[in-house]
Amino acid sequence: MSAPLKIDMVKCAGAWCVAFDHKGLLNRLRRRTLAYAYLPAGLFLSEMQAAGYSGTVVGCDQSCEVSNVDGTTGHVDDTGEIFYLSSHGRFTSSGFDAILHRTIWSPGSTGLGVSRLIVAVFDTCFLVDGSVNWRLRWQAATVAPSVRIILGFDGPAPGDKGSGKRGAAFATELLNGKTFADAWLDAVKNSLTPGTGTGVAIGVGTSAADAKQVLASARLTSMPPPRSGPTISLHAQY
Amino acid sequence: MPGIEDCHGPASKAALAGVRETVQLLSPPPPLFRLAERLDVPIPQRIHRAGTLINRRSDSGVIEIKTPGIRLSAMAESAATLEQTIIQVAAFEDQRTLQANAIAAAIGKQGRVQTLVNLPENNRAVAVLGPGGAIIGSDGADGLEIAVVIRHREQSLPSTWRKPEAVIEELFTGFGIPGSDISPSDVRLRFGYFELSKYDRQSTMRPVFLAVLDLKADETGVPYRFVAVAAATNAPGVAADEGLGSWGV
Repeated sequence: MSAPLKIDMVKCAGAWCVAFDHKGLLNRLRRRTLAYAYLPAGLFLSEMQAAGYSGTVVGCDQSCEVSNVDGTTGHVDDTGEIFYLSSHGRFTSSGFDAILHRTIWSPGSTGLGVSRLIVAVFDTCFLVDGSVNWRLRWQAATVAPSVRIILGFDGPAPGDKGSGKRGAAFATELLNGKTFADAWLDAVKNSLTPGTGTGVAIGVGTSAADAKQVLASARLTSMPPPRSGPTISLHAQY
Repeated sequence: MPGIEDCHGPASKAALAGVRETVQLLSPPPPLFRLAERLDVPIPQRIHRAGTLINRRSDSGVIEIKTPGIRLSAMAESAATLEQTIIQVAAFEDQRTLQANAIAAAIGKQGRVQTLVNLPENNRAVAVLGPGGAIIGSDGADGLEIAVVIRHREQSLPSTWRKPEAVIEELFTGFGIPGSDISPSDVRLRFGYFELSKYDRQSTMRPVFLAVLDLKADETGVPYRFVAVAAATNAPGVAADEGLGSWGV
């Protein structure tokens, strides 16, 4: 892998959706309020800020829609090197969807990141679905070259208050010097009641070896450079 | 007067039966435990080993064993002395039953080993639930990290069962979902002691009912999972949500 990027201060951005207002009776009934969705992203940002990093809330509910991430009005996911989103999520035959306040964001279709984002945390259900071949969808996704690590859950993610402390735990482990992958997986393992959530860390590279290497080495003090080619290869760590 | 089913649907009736069954099985009611403040308790020299660093976390007092140069996935192969160290640390912290025979191998394979609290007066061992109550292995910045999230119980407090209806009311209100949307198969109910994570301070460990609500992806494809915890018993001078951390009401 190429030399790490020189970044004076990693910038963190976060967003969340608590309430959902989707069209259609069924959607209104089913898109359940996530009363504590503010916790994982909010606690992550506040822990990082307390440690001297820049942490910005870039959207919540009405200000967290597809138009804010697909370039129509902005690309808040590309505000910093780390983007942390807490909301509903699902994995369908088209790939991963983040359910936002009134809209559904399919980052694999509309694009994830532009040029600055390196680590995306989707603190939602079903970043991947281990019961299907999820790699096909993520390998075909539109992911900016700068994006090297995607963190989330394989399957459901608990939305209760106690489990929401995982965002703080992730920051704590990162600040202890762990890699992004280890920090995320350890935060999930140590914050949740066993059997209520399976963390997954995905390395994005130009080859399987590159993807594996980025998971093994990328940390706050050693941010990886953009992918050197257009092909996407993935490596998942549990 | 409306029954629990009228307020919270058929799943609450099934859960209520589960709570009642536990209450009938366990007599006397399991005690609460006051946990020792261990931040400043030194780790005995006899436990220390060359090549391992054993320290207490400054936030919670939980002991962490760090072994540089080893990854969690390779733990089973380097286990003999490490296994002894883990067992000694766990025994120094609290007298529990570990839910595995080969501790290091189990941590290497599953990431954690859960514990049980023995209740001689009930002739029974009760599981410890929650993010703690376990020996948990992780990959750290320099190598293997084993967190022994087993807090020392220093005092037992007799307790009395809460009314099962009150427990169910608390759990199902906590879900934040209309009871009519929940079927009995959506809820997993467990009974055990509740121990917080290695990041948290905790001064009381108490028996709880823990319910996991799992609404599978429906026609809209969006699933919902929620963990609710309610104290199972009360004791004089102990607040209703003491020992539950952020899971408290």
